Formats: sequence, structure tokens, C-alpha cells
Amino acid sequence: MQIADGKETYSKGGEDSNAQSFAISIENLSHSYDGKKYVISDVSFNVNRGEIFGLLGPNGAGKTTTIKILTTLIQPSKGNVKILGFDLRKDGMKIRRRIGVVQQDSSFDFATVRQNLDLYGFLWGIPKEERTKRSIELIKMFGLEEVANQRAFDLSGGQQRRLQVAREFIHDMDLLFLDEPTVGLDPLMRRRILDLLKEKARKEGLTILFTTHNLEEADYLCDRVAIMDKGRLQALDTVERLKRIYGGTKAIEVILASSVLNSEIPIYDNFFRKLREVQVDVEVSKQPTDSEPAVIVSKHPEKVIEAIISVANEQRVKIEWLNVRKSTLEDVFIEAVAPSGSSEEVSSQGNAKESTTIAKSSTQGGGGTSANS
Amino acid sequence: MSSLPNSVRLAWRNLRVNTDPASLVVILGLPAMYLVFMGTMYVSIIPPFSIGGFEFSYASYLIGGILAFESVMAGTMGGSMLWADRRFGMFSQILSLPFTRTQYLGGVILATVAASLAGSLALVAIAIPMGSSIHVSPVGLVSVIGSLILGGIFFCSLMLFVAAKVDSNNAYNSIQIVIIFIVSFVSDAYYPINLRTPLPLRIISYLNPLTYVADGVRAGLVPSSNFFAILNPIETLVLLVETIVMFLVAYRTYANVKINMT
Repeated sequence: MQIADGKETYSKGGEDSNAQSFAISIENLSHSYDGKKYVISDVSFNVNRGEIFGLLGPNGAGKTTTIKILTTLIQPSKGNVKILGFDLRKDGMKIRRRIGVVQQDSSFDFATVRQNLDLYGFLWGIPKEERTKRSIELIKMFGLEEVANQRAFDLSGGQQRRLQVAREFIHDMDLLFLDEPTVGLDPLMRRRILDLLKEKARKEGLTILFTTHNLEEADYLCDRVAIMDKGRLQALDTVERLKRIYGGTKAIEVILASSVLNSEIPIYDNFFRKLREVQVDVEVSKQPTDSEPAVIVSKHPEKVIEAIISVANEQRVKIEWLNVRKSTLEDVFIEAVAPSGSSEEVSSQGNAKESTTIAKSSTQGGGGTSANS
Repeated sequence: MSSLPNSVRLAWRNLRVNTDPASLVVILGLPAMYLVFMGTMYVSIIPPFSIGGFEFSYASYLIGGILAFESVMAGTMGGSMLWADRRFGMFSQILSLPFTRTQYLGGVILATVAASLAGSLALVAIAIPMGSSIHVSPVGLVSVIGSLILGGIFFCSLMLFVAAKVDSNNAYNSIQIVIIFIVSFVSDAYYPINLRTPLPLRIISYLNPLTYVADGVRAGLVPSSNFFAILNPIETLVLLVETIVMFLVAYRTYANVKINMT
């Protein structure tokens, strides 16, 4: 993949001729629900077998529609897709026999946790003895012992989510799709499920494609991530490479003296304006809140620090906290999905506090990523 | 069970999920209450009457209508299966499993027909001690089962059509109640239709498939010598045509049901 004019194009050399070796092979996928507005536009990527692949993006990015297409629930308007070597348009049944799907919306039968697992196993054609055994294991594995005999609809959101993920492991599969599987889970259970997914991928060769808003868990779990925005693929690579590429930049966190936050003078605005005057290679990727620092990303953190100190002295502003940290997936994400337009455009979407572009062009030319590493 | 055809597997799942006590009260309890209360209350004031040369007590007349009504109630269960699966996410979840839409529909209809037949059997067990006269012959049995199957498919298709069209819980329930009311009372399920019946209601009852289901069941419960005197074969043909048309309409609507309701 190369980056050109801020947009990415994908090198397809040779990989399509061998789509069978990929768990998922997508070529020029586009989809419109009404025939007018495309919610997915010209998306191409492959997922290797045994890989854990994360699909990230803000709300409305097209992630769930992509999952629905890949799980054969809707037919794409355009493009070619192969799942486990099968053609999506012709071999839906063959595909569904070998995949598991945890959808974003909850789905349960009007039955207890134990019965839900049993019914699901029954639908998959698993013999009674085997599904009873697996149900017991899954109830234990997902910490559902205490609610095993309660109706699924009476469970808390987190318990329901656990049941939904657990249910999918009652059958064997080669490829698992999870649409925001950890929403509503407490940190311990979240980690337990992520570890389970990791183990399934490493030991059993299960391929996993999952979507999430939680960048930490994508960082923890994924071999590669694709970042989507407005139906288009914005970035795709290993987490580490993305951090390296986008982070030729480093993140500089700064908190000005707390008293100034309560001041009527827009002290941060003045501060950043001055910074821009002396240092163009900065981007304020996160505005400060009462509890969190402002985050400035730059390829030359040492120059930015110098400028911060200089401007602070000049403005007679006290710096309470100054820190340089490694780029995170969140930085990559913000960079990838930040609108290429002005800060007003961001503001109109209600995101102004999270992503204010000052000099985006200078931070985006730093290299490319490959569609399949 | 693991090697069952997909529609049968789905039907079994539907029956397990939809036969909780509250659902059973509606599916079986309502016709049973009609049978007990109407049978007990009216039998003392309605003298026996003759149809096609066979003399019916009101209890014997009513049982045919109540068994036919059971196919309506089973049909509502079929519609509710789709509606609940759409509402609670299981429709799209099941379609992400190795099942086709047609198999899902087959599962709903099979479950409905099974519920209709099982419910009818239970109602017969209640009716006999109440003095209903039931004669079973091979032709009669075919007529009873055939009519109940066609009735089950018709009313299941009708309710599936509603379930596929309506997203709101209140709207779905209201429409269902109105359909049950009109279908059951503007038919000959509970009383004979004759020339003294107001013309508009008579026309509706002749269009109403429940009339033909009730006649088919009723004819099957009398001695075989009276069978064709009670059931005109054209009625069976009308029922068959209405069922096929309703099924096709429902199928077409169902085929366009969106995966997610929310």
C-alpha cells in the first residue's frame, strides 16, 4: 500500500490469484443500502489464516456493514469477496458452516443461559452429550455459573455479552467474526475473553476478525488492524508498524497550571497559537480536560518542548506537567480518521475537543503500509 | 437429532422456545376455555340441529369449530416466532448459521402445524367428557388432519405477513387481536351460517378460511356416511387456493424482511 495525497491505495500484486490461502479476501468492496449513498467504498484487504484482525473506526465507519457482508447476511453491491476460499455470492451456506458470528446487537432465545447454549448447540447439530459437556465448560469459562439457570433476558448487559460470546464457542469453526464483543464487560472479564481469543488463534489456528472502539484491546489482541472511516479504508498494517509510520510522531502531553483552566482567558488557545507561530510541525490531537493533558503530536518532540517552554515563559504561564510518550494506537487512530479539512469541520461533528488539525499535511507523508504483511 | 433436516431442527427449536407456560395458556388455554365455557353455557339453550342429515348437539358442533380455531391460535404463534426473532436478534443470528431463509420459514410453519395438531388432540381429550360426539374414520381423519394443516399454514402465513410488516410491539399485538376476533366470530366455527345471517357477515364468513377449516374438521368427526353431505369438496378447494395465495404473499413479504429490526 502506498500513501498518495493523503489517501491509500493498495498494491494487489499476486495476492488475488491465491485467495484460497487467505481466510478473507476482499477486492473493491462497495455497498449501498439505497443505491445512492455508499456506506462502504472500494475497500480491499486480505486476512491471513490464523490471524487476529481488528477492524477499527468511529461510529458509522462501515464496520458493522462490512461484518454483515462477510457473514453473508447481506449481499454486497459491488466487489469480490472470498471467505475461506469460497465465493461470498455463490457459497453462502458453505461459508456459514465454517464461521461463527457474535453480532453487535444482543440476541437470545427466551430461555435460561444453560438452555440458550443447548439450543444453539442443537441448531448446529451437535449431539446432546457433546453439547451438554461443552455448555458446562463454557458456563465455567465465561463465569456464568451463578446465572446458569436464569433467563438470558434477566441478565445484566455484561453477562448477556458473555453469554453471546460463549455461545459461539459451542460449535467448531475456522473463522470467527466478533462485532464489538467486549462492550459492557468489566476489565477482568474483558481481559479473560481477549486471552481466550488469543489462545484459540494461537493453539487452534482460529482466524478472528473483530471490530472494536477500544483501541487498547486492539493493541493487545490484534496481529493487524484496519482503520475505516466513512466507508473507506484509511490504514492497514500491524499495530507496531502503524505506530512507527504514523509516529514518526511522538505525543507530548502538557498540562498548564490548573488555575488557568478556570480562567476566562482562553489560555490554551493562545498558547497553541503561539506554538504554531514558532513551530509548524505540531498537531494538537487532544484538547485538555480537567483530568487529562493536552496532547501534541510532532515528529520533532525536542523542538516542540523547547517551543513550549519558550512560549510558557513568554506568556508567563506555569507548566504543571510535560511528558513525551510513545505513540499509541489511539494516536494512530486519531491520525487516520481525522478529517483532512479544517478544524471547523471537526467542530461541526462535535469532535473538536478530540482532534484539532493544525498541520496535518506535514505529519502524513511519512511512508506507507502494506496490505498484507 | 443431529442429522435432522434443517427445517425440522428449526421447528424443534421454535417449539422449545415458544412453549413456555404463558404461551401455552394463549395457544391452548384460550380454545380450551372457549370449548368449556361456550359448550357448557350454550348446550343447555341450543337444541340439537341437523346439518347434512347428521344431528349435532351444540357440543358436537362446537368441537369442530374449536379445533379449527386452534389452527388460528397456532398461526399466531407462528407469526410471533418471526416477530420475536426479529425483535430479539435471533433472526439475523440464525441466518448467520448454516440455514437458508426458506428453511427458517419452513421451521416456523412446521412448528405451527405441529402445535396445531398437538393442541387439537388435547382439545379432543377435553371435549369427549363434555359430551361431544366424535366418530373417527380413515377418511375423517385425513379430513381433520388435512384441514388443520391447511388452516395452520394459512393462518401462520397471515401472521407471518403481519410480523414481517410491523415493527412495533403494540401494533403487532393489536392487529393480531383484531384478526383473531374477526376470523373466529365471522365464520361458522361457533354457530352455523344460514340465510338469516346478515349478508355482509355471510360474505365475509364465506371468504374466511376458518369456515372451511371448521367444515373440514367437522365433517371428519361424523360417521363417514355423512361426510360429503357436510363437506362440499369445493370448500376444500377454496381453502387450498386461499392457503397457497396467502403463503405466496407471506413468502414474498418475508423474503424482503430486513436482517435487523433495531
